[in-house]
Amino acid sequence: EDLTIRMGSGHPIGLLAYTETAHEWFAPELRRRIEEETEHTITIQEFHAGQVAKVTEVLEATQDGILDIGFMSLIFEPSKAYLQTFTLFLPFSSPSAALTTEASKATFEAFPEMSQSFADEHNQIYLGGACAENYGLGSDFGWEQFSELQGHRIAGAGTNLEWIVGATPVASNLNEAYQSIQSGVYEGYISASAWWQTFKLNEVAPHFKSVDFGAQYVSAVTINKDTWEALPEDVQQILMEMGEEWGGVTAEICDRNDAEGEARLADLGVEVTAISAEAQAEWAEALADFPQRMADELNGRGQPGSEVLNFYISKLEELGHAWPYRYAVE
Amino acid sequence: MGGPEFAIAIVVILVVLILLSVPVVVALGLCSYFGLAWLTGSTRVPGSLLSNTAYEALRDYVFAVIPLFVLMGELISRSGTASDLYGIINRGFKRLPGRLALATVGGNAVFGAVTGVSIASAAAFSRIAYPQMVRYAYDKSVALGSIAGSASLGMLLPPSVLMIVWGVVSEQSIGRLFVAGVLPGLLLAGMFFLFIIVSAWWKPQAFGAGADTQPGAAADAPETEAERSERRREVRGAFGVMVLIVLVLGGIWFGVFTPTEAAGVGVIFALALAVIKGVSLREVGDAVLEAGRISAPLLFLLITAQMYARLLALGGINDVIQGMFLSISDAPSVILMLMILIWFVLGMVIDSTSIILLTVPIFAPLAANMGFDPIAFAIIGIVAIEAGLLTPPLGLCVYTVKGSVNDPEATLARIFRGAIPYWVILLILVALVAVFPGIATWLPSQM
Amino acid sequence: MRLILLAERLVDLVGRTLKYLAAALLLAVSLLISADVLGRAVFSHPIDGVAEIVANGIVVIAFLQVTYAVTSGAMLRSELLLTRLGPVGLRIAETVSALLGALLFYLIARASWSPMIRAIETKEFAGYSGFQMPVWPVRVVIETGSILAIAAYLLIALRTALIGVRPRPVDAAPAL
Ligand code: NA
Ligand code: NA
Repeated sequence: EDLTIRMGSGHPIGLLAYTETAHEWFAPELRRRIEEETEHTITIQEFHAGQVAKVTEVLEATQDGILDIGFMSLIFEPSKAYLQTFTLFLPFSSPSAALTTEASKATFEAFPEMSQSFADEHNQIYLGGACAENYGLGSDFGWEQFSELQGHRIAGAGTNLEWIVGATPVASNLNEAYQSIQSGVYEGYISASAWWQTFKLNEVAPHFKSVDFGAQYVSAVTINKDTWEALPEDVQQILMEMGEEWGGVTAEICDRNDAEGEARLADLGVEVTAISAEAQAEWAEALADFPQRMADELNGRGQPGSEVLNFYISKLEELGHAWPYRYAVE
Repeated sequence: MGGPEFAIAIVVILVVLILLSVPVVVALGLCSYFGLAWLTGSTRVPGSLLSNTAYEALRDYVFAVIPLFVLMGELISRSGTASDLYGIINRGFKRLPGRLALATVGGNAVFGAVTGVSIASAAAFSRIAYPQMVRYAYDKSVALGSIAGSASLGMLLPPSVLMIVWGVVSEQSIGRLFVAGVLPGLLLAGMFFLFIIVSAWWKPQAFGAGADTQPGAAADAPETEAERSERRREVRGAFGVMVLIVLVLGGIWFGVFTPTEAAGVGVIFALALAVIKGVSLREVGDAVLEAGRISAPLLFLLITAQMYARLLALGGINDVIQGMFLSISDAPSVILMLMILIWFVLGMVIDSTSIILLTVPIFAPLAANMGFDPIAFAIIGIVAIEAGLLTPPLGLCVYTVKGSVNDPEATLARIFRGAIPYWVILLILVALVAVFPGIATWLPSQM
Repeated sequence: MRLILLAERLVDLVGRTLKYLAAALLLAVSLLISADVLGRAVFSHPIDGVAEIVANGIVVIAFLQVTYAVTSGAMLRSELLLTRLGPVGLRIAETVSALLGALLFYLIARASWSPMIRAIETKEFAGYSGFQMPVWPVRVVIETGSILAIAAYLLIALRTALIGVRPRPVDAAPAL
């Protein structure tokens, strides 16, 4: 059988780890395995950078079959996949993408309703999840103490706006960041070091603080249910395996991007510094109520918010992460 | 499955429908639906393309600039301050042929530089400049052409939405792209100016040569008190509109707001200006209604152009383009010309952002392999795409001007005709940058 | 015939009413943006969710205007053929164009129905945890606007086929 698969995402290929692995690893590896391990052949068409679906549309495009396989950032699906972005509700988790991926995978396994909802409500099969890079704080001013952020305007997108306490949060997106920082609309942005360079923000904001908010498990790969059901069983098997492996492959790229990102920023003359343990603990403590607030909201929607957050807090701890402030969620 | 035949077929069908006077929005939307239905053998997938795009295409903060800048232009126009400014320019530069067209090009450059979206400045300037040029007896085709043609200037002068999209897709420094656009932008403005001065000298009657007989521009007779007070009123109006422009530009420059926000703030300033100039509440209401009437069809044009761009992507236009490069030639100059041709042709049917998303991921690495400077290449691409927005059958800038002026004599054919010199000049700029990439690369190399 | 003309006036009325609504919304958007800028620059306190509200507002403004855009003939088109046709040809061309317009908006309305129902049933929202904005109003406006556009286009087709091309409404001087 000759199969044709349309896969895509809303971000450009070179921008984020999850689209890079979608293009560099998932597509060629899928072709290779199908051709080597089965009788079938496959044609893969790729549509990244929002060519057919913007970041906010990938889930729906996969639901309706515009895309067969969608690589999505669940940050942009607050309504349809809120619980699934639970790592965002627990800032200062592990900077290691490998560790975060392991703990998050375990959480998805412990709460199967998180992946099942894709099939039940959105006509697609959840194949696997993956991390995004570790968030830090880039800015056009230098700072050391948490209290120094007071009075500065710092931008973020989506849930990570909630992490900005002390300073004034400004909602924005990375596409606008360059102009906005240059003209002084805001002075910093919650971002990974790799993106700081991709969006050339080093040109306008020469300070990057490794705040270590942590790598976030917010990407997912899913396949349209009708496409899935029409696929031969051995191909389904391969897709299941690859969805499972994708998180690990992406974690490697994330960790590499973080290390290289900081090194490259330093080469470009950006002052890259690590946050002091004291400032980190202060910031984390200032966010002490945040996880509880998120859990309450999720619980109110009939979802196991508290259970999921507690499970993840303990799981990361079990794997060796020391929370700068140990959140307690009821 | 798509392929070259499919890609050609959907472009030909679209062009035929448009030539048959089917509304452009309808032609784009129906082509997208039935093209995708044919491609996928389903009705659910194309239906979803329509509903997703209808919901998502405009859901971006940046598109707010279109209705907002139209409204700002409308308010400025109704306040009479634009008329004051043009009156002063007309009298003040009496010896300069084509001065109002020059003012329009200059103003549009400033405006476009601010908005970063060429159709927003085309729409706003249609409201501000067209009635003035008609008042001073400019040939309509000349007037319309200067508005549509000069809207492209804003894309080269920072900030520019197109450059940001280009920079992100091709992983270029946005700051360097911004700087790279400055010299070509000035050169382009210079060529537009030169063209206008030469043609106004050549054919003065098309550039309002009889305008001296217009009211408010009386010859050398001594001024009466009424005339002097009229002059003072005019100066105050012109001063008001200049202050507004400085506030909006300065606000962006000094970081008080982003370009999108400038549109919102600009409306409030223009509203204040209109009230100060004694525009009645009813007329302000009219201005708001008119801005809505003009922008709705433009917004629908953007929605359906995006539907169509998505069909082109799904129909495998990427593979078609790549195949074309492989089969035709490996001489860099031929490939570059082919790219420019493709941009130019796509510019005739879809919007500039979609063109960049469709082609730059293929073109940029190819160009880098052939040794083209990526910065010069980006400038070439942006200028070629903007040129395509001025050509039939569906130059978005031309349709924008058409939708924004209330004059049955301002036919599409007239605007397309008036815009010809401008896209020819844009293509000359493309050639210049291709031959002398230093025009684009010199300034950034000094950074 | 009378029925068609009556329906035409009804659709005109609805289109105008929605047009007023859209105009008010447009003014509100610019006020909101200015307030946000002022809040941020002067009081270091931006308004939550402005970008989200404005982005959704533009979609609403577009679809509130669609009926009026259709009835007033503002949907942009090439006049190349129209200016060369005789009266009968013109009627045929106008009828076919209007039918195609009705078809497009029928397809949009049909496809947008279930996302709208879903948005209402699941209380879908856009934004983020700190600022949640319901999706259903936008979806309802898209659906309503599309259905009204179908009606407007069908009426144009019926009228053009049975009575003749409608004299262009006097929107050159914006009618109120
Ligand atoms: Na969505
Ligand atoms: Na610009």
